[in-house]
Amino acid sequence: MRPLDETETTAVFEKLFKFVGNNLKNIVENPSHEGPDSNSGRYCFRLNKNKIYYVSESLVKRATNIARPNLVSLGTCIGKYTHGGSFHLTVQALNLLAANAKHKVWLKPQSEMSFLYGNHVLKSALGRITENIAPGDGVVVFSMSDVPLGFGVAAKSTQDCRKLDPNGIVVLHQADIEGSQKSSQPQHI
Amino acid sequence: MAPAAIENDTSDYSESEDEEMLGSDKTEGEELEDDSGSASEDSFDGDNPLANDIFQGSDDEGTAEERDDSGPSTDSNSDSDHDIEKKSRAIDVERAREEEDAEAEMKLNIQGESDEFRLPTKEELEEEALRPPDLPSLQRRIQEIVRVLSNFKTLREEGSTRKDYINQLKKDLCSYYGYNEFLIGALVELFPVVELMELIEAFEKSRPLCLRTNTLKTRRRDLADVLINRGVNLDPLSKWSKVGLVVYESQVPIGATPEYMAGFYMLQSASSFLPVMALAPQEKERVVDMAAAPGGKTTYIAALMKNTGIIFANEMKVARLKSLTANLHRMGVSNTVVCNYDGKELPKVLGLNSVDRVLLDAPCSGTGVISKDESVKTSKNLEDIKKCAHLQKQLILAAIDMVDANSKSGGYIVYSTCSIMVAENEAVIDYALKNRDVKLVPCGLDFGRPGYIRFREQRFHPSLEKTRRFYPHVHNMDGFFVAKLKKMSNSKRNAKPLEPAEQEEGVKLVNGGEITSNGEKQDAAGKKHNANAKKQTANAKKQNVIGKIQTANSEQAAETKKRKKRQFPSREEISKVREEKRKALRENKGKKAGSKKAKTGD
Amino acid sequence: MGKKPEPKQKVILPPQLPPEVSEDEIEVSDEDLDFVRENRDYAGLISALDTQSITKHVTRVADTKEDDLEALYEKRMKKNALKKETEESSLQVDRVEALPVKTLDGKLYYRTVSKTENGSAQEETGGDTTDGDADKGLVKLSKAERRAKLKKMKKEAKKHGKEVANTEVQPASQAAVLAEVKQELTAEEAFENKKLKLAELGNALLTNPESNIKLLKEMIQIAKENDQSIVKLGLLSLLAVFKDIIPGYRIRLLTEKELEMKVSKTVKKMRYYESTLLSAYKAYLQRLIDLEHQPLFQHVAVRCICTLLDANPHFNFRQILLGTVVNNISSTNDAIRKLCCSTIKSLFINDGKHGGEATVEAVRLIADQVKAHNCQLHPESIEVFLSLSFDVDLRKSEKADDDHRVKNKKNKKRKNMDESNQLQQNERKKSKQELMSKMREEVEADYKAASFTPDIMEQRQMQSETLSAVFETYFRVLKHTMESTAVRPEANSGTSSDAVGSHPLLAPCLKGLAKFSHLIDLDFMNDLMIHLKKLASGSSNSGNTSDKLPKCLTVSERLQCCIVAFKVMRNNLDALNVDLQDFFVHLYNLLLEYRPGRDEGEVLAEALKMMLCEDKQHDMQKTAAFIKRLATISVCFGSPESMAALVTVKHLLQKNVKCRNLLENDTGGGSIAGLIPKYQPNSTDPSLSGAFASVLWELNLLSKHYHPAISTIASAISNMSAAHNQVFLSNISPQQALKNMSLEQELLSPQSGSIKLNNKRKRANGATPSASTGCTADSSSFDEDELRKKLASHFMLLHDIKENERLRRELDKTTMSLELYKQYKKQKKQGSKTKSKA
Repeated sequence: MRPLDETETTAVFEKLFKFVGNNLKNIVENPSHEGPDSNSGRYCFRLNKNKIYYVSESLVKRATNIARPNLVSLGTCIGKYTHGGSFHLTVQALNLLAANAKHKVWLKPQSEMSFLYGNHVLKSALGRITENIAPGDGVVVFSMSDVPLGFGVAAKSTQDCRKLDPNGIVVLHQADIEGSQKSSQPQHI
Repeated sequence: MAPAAIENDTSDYSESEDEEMLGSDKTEGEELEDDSGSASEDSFDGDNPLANDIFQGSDDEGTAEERDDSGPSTDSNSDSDHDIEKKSRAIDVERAREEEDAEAEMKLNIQGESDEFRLPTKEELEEEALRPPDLPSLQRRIQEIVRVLSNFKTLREEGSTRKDYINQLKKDLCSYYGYNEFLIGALVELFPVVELMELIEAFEKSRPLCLRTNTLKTRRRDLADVLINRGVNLDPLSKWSKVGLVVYESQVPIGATPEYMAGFYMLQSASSFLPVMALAPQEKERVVDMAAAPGGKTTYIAALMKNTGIIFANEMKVARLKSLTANLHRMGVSNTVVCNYDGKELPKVLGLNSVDRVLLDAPCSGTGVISKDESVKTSKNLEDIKKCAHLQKQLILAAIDMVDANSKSGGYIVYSTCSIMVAENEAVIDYALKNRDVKLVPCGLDFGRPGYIRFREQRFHPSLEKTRRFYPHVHNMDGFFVAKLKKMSNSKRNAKPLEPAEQEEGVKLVNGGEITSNGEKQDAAGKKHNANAKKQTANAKKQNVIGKIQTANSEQAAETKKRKKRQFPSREEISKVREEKRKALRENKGKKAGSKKAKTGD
Repeated sequence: MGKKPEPKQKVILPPQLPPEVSEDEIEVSDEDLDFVRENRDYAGLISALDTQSITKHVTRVADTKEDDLEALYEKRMKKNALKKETEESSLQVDRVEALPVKTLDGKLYYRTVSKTENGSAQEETGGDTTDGDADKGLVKLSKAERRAKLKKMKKEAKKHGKEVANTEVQPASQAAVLAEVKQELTAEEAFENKKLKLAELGNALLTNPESNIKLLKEMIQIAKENDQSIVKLGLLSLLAVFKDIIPGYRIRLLTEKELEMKVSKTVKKMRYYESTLLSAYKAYLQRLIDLEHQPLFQHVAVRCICTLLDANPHFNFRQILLGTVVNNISSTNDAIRKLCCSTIKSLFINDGKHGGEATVEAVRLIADQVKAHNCQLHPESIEVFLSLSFDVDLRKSEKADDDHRVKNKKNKKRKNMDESNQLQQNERKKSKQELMSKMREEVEADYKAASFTPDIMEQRQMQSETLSAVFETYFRVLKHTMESTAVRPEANSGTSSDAVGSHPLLAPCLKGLAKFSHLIDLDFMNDLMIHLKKLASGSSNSGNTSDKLPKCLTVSERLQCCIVAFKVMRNNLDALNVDLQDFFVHLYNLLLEYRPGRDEGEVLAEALKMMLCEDKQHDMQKTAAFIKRLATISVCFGSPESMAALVTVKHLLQKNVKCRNLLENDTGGGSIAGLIPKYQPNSTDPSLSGAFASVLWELNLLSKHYHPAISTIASAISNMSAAHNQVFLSNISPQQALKNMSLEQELLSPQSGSIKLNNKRKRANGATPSASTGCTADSSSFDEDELRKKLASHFMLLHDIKENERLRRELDKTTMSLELYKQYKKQKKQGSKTKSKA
């Protein structure tokens, strides 16, 4: 387990920023509530076995005495480095993203499952969509009852969605809680 | 109520046990004394206590040896001579009964012969062995035997002993339900036949599907609402759980709903709620789950802690790590550090006396969850049980070593297995009690049967009745065992004198129980102020001085005849004891602080 | 003062005349006074009537009686003058407008006038048809009409033969006489004469415009004189005349070809009439325009222009009129501005009169105006847009074929083609039917194609032009406001006055946007939204720049922005349900900045209604956050605001079951992600405030609120959870929602409705003690009630105490006096004893 170096940090932040925009600030600055200490500091990013973890500092402190080979995971795993050396967000990041998401899409109940089976979000499936989404933005997909289902990349801006025909793709599927393997090779943005 | 009930159920055992002592004393003479059974009994009754004392002694030696790692061997000894003793005991019983009843109930017997069920003869059995077993007849015979045994005096057949019946029953059960002899034997020892049948039947059918609401993400009411809309038919689990739901039937795969994937609930057997509820973790605590996979309990702990504090979730088997992490992430648990160690190494890794609570859901023979996997019926044998027990003893010591006795809010260890074997449960706890300065405290579960204080020739610490056993046929959940220990001091005490230890322990446990129960109250109230806590405990102790006598009496009442003899230590003794205990606590605190500084230093 | 003889004659005359005169005068004056009081119309006409009759009479009498006439005229005119002075010249307008009203009594005048008018109109149509390229059917019709009408004309001619003759004779003689008389009369008299003259001329014109159209020139001459009062009179009388005689069509200047074409006498006459009228009108307008620049005349001039424009926007030289009107639309002079605005409004409202061209031009002009003045105009100048009305189905069809809207001709062609296709189909269908029907259909089809379609088309075009102009203006205003806010120094920190000063047009602009939101083109929508967002964000836009950029918009204005944004969204995309996150964020923050005293509660309430209550559904985090914040602010707001807030809270809670666990003290509500474990009261983003971790303790306070309505609703809300605890109701029943909305309405409609609040409360939660009512912004009435009671009781108490004390004092006095008396007696006795002893 080690902190990220410059390039890694930028890579991670870029990816996150696509989804949370300015909320990235409070992702990094919010005080953490994990950890036994009275003030458990902030959150930080750690790299362990090419996985990136978003974890409270106090957890990190306590996890130090666990040998690297035996340390499996800590805090929240938000993404990983592929063998190609590129960074991808994984489904586990969903909670983090959902809490701070800038661009959201709500699916109609009948189309939840189809998304969970790894299909893209069609216009006909849209229950709601946040305004001013630009193509290429990271979008978090919710069910109508605000259950975060996954995330993806906007294919169309909110404006274009109006003119789009019902079968047009609005959001490209990247990852969903059903844990489909797409998350490992997402469409590149 | 439970203990008394057991007494009644196993009346014949209790009396028979008395004899088995003598049996153990003088095995060689058994056969000779067939005819003069009754006389011999009386004489033996006289020197029972003595025998008992000797027995205790031997037991202690045994444990002493066990500490020198020859544990299994001694176990095997005791177990092996169980069988002999049992046979002899059975014989004696038969004989005695015969003598007594012979003349009195001759007529009755004669009358009874007419519609009587008779055990199959050797020949019958042999030829039956040739033929493929026809289940109906087997079942009929089983029922018959059970009927006979349930009312042995009247229904027994001339010349055939209870032992014969039992053996026959075992055989039939094995062949009918497909158990191996060992397991059936163990079960038979645990339960009177009628209950045994219920249990085995309960093992045949599976438990209802339970799910636990993940209070990190939703509330039971909302979840139930959503699921009902999805066409799931469910109910709140029962009064003892605020987060459990029972699923009767569902039109959708309950393990594939969006809510499930989003981690709103966990599919988890009701029994696995219990250890966590017993552990009662508080916010901002340091908790260790020594055998975490697949994470049902860990996530529950995290939910109770509201994702605060820190949980070390350890799992030895690499294969099971995946499911563990997956569940943790699915349930949105972020306060967990997952590590992959052998539980025995954990104290070295995490440091001694470093955490507030430890949950040890020990790997076990799984004899409680036969309904879940049938293989247990046949796969397990004596060796496995012994192996498990051994491992569990190591683990529980490791667990105790990790816990910090001076922790403000905690200092508790919860030990649980999904086995119903005494060797894996009471025996292990008893072992822990003898080897560490810990004491049993109530689990905070108001149901379940108390653990065995004595099982056949074994004698466990009386406070073991604070542990809880759960059975499929009684509580409609998997067979399960939960014990909650409070660590009193960080000092390991290895060797201890036999007799005084016994006594003082008896006394101390009374106090201990009450103190810790106070401690628990504090936890419940969530008090963090150390000062208050200390005051409270102090008060508690004062009360104990007064309340001691009654408790002692109650204890006494609970004791069996043999314990009756022991005179209770006088007040001054007790106060003395408590004094030294306080001293110990103080110096430990001092040590603790020192060590803490050191830690922070590096 | 030249000749003696006339005075002598006068001297002779008076004995005879004055009595009559006086009688007349008295009579008339009475009448007139009445009329002045009640309906000026009569007054005007009476005067007209008298003069008329007199003129007749005069024509009979010999020259010697000239003077009497003069005197009479003078007197009459004095009265008129008086009237004019009394009700400042508005009378004139009325007088003319009064003509139609006259129908009730002065038939004669009405007929002549009307006849001339419609007669001419018909003739004109005939003329049109001849030179216009219309189809035969129409021509025939018109011809038939024409004959009939010509006959009528002749009749009229006979009827009025005399008069016409007279009137034609008259001017010459009078002119001569007047000419010589002028020298002698004093300036005052001259003035009177002028007025007299005006009246006379006007009258003549009104009676028979066609014949004596040239009199217009004279009137204009008068109006050109330098005596201002006369000029005013002239203008006004001219106005009256024009208003009356201007035909209901537009006069087209004749081409040479037409000129050299020889035409029938009547037509020639007509042409002459029209041309003179036109030229006179032009001259008149010219006069008006240059007068309009001189301050003294401005008012009159503008009034004339407005009335003209209002009366006949279809007529020639409309552009000039419009131009001046629009120029004055935001003048500092209230009267003028009002006048112009009302004119424009009426123009917009009844654009049936003119096929809408006027509207388009007006809007265009206003747009340019705004552009020219860089949005520093008076709000009213934009408010007029609100009275615009757009034909929606036109719009729709337009949207249907969007691209065609731009190129109109092509569109028209296509239309025709459609028609023809349709026609062919019809033919195919009805091939079996006999020829006649087919013929008829064809004709009809052609007729349609010829007459209607183009009409629709150009209506459409005009409408779209108008719209684009309007929205262009709005956008300009928005942009300007933004720039101003961006650039504006710290000078105006939020105080509404300055803010308004910086961008006066914003408010009406927002109103307009809200009204026409359903007509906005989707392409515009995006940047519109962006603008609105920027505006709404005001100071608190994305936090970081807040300190650098001072807030220029008041809270209410920014709320307005949010509301508009929502209206626009709601009206346009019912298909796609867009979630306006940022606006919610703004609202969330504005709630804190809102100050009951400073900002309008209505706006806040409307915002709450639009954004929270009527919005389809929100995510739980946001809703919870809003509920929490509303509850919080409702603790520190005045009754009305807190009431609004509470009703919203109630609505939200009823809508979103999940949020009810804010009402329960049971933890583990669970924030999605569990990342926000505890409530952060001053987080700027509702979805990050973690409101689920909190509890609505405010309700408990509010249930002790001094105002019964609030306390009741507060307690009702806090009991809500208990009510629904057992039942898992996933969505609220419609009638529940409906009831709630009605509450909303009642509450949101003007806050200061104590009565409303009363019955609102009754509806809301059963009958409640409505002893104290009215939570007006300054809940004065309520307080008074309460106070009066309290004071009364208090006073009573004090009074009683006083009473008691008084009584007690008296008692003491009496007792004391008794005591003294006793002592005195004792002493006496003793004294006597001693005496006796002694």
